[in-house]
Amino acid sequence: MAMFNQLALSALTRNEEDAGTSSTLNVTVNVDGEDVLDRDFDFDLDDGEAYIRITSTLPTPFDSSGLTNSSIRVGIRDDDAWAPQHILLFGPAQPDFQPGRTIALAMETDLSHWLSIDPSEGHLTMPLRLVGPGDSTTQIRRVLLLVDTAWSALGPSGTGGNTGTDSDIELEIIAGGNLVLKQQIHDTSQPDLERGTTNWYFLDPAAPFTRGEVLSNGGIRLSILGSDAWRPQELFVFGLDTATGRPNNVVSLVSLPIWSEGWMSTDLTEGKPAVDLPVVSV
Amino acid sequence: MATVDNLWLAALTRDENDAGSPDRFNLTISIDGVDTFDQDFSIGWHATAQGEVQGGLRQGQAGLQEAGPLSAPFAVNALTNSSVRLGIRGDNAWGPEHVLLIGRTQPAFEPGRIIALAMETDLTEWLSADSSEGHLTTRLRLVGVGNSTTLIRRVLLLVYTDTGNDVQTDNTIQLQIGTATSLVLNKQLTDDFNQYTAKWFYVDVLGPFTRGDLALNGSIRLSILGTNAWLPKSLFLFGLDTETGRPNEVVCLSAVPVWDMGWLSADPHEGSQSVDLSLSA
Repeated sequence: MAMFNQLALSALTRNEEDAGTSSTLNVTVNVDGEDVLDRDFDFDLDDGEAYIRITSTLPTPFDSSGLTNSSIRVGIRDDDAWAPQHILLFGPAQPDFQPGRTIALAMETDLSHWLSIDPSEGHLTMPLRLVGPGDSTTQIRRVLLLVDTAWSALGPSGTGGNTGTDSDIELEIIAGGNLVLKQQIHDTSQPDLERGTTNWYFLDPAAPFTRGEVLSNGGIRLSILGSDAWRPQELFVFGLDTATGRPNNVVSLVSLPIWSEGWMSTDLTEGKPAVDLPVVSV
Repeated sequence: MATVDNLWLAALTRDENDAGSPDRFNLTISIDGVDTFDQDFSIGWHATAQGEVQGGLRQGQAGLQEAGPLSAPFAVNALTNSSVRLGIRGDNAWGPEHVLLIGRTQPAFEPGRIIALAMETDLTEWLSADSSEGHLTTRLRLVGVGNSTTLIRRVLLLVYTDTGNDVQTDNTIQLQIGTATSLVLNKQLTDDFNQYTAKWFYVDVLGPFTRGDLALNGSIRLSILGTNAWLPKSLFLFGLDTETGRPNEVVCLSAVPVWDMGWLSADPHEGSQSVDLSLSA
């Protein structure tokens, strides 16, 4: 059981013609016939672009134990059709006896739907099925890195800086003393790490691992491989229990809704070349 | 386990300013996260003789529309209170008052029958694709189908008049329901039963009764009290277990999805003044 008082919607638009939209999205969460959430998300995405938005605090927190696979739907409020590829809904669960934690709630991947209020263009709404949060023993076969680059920030010199970067970044995961993932992100079909944009990257580990192995004898490190300074805004890392397709469990590995590590750059006068990310422990 | 193979969506628009809408409605039915039904309803729309399409639901107007045979029939017991949602595909806000989703179960070892699936009453919300005007979708919670012992404290009559030569009437109609020993409902309903329109009537009973009471030499009689002949297209009669507010159980008393009992008129040359409606199984 988890009580949610905020939710984050993240999505990747398909990289095909006209897949992007400037229509507002609508998310409803229904528990036994009562809509515990009915929230709009302003949206303005081109083809192949990703998105992440975190709601303000919900007026009424809801208990995820009452959710079913039919509880959560995503809809669209305009006729500028949208073609999502992947959608993830997650949120920081309220602290109960444990510190606050981020939990994946629902996810769809590899979609072929179109959404539009125009019936000739697509569905009005679509379901988002639940995923399990997994635990420290869940075998992770794929990693999802969600990162939002800041729109603006004071530069390293104290003046306004270009928050985006053309430098590659690299994610490295060590679990149980073994290097299980070391992958550079370089020139994908998305607008990579540009100012004010979100990126959605699936990364393939060399071998399955667990969060417990990362916590006991390992770590997660994010590096930048060039001197074009970069300023993230939000960063989340999830572990998926399937190598392809829709996961059953999505394990939260890193949750940084507010990036506090400053700028990243191989130029030490501009930022840090690498950051050891705090791994979610519950 | 009953399997639904057809649906009817019925609704009454609130009788308040701007509550009507010409927009299409979208109904989804999700079973375990998979949409087994996703279809638009153009309630109140019709083609004119000139081939134009016009209509929509006006303020205070009811609508009733059949979905048609389902490509993917579904099991009733797989539904949850989160399964059924009604949305709108435009920004002309709609203010529904009552909404009822009716299903037809597939014949298996017993004849197919009509059942109420989901219902909301006394709604105050607005639906619109424009976020400043209303919700994009709203939920329709399930209702029970009741049984022969469910106490019925109110009756819902839904009747739709289609198009045709003089099929409409402005005569008063009368609904009477009797058990073997007493008249439990006797109501005259005065309205214009115009072409392409549905009527949604809540009718108070004289005393609670059950479908079982009607099965024992009871009767359901529909009459017309004038000579302006009327030919309805569809008729549904349900018994509700609550006198007011949202029911928990909605018992089908009679269903005539396709009217086959001829014209109604007090003029015997034009039709029958009364017809006895069959009690649903």
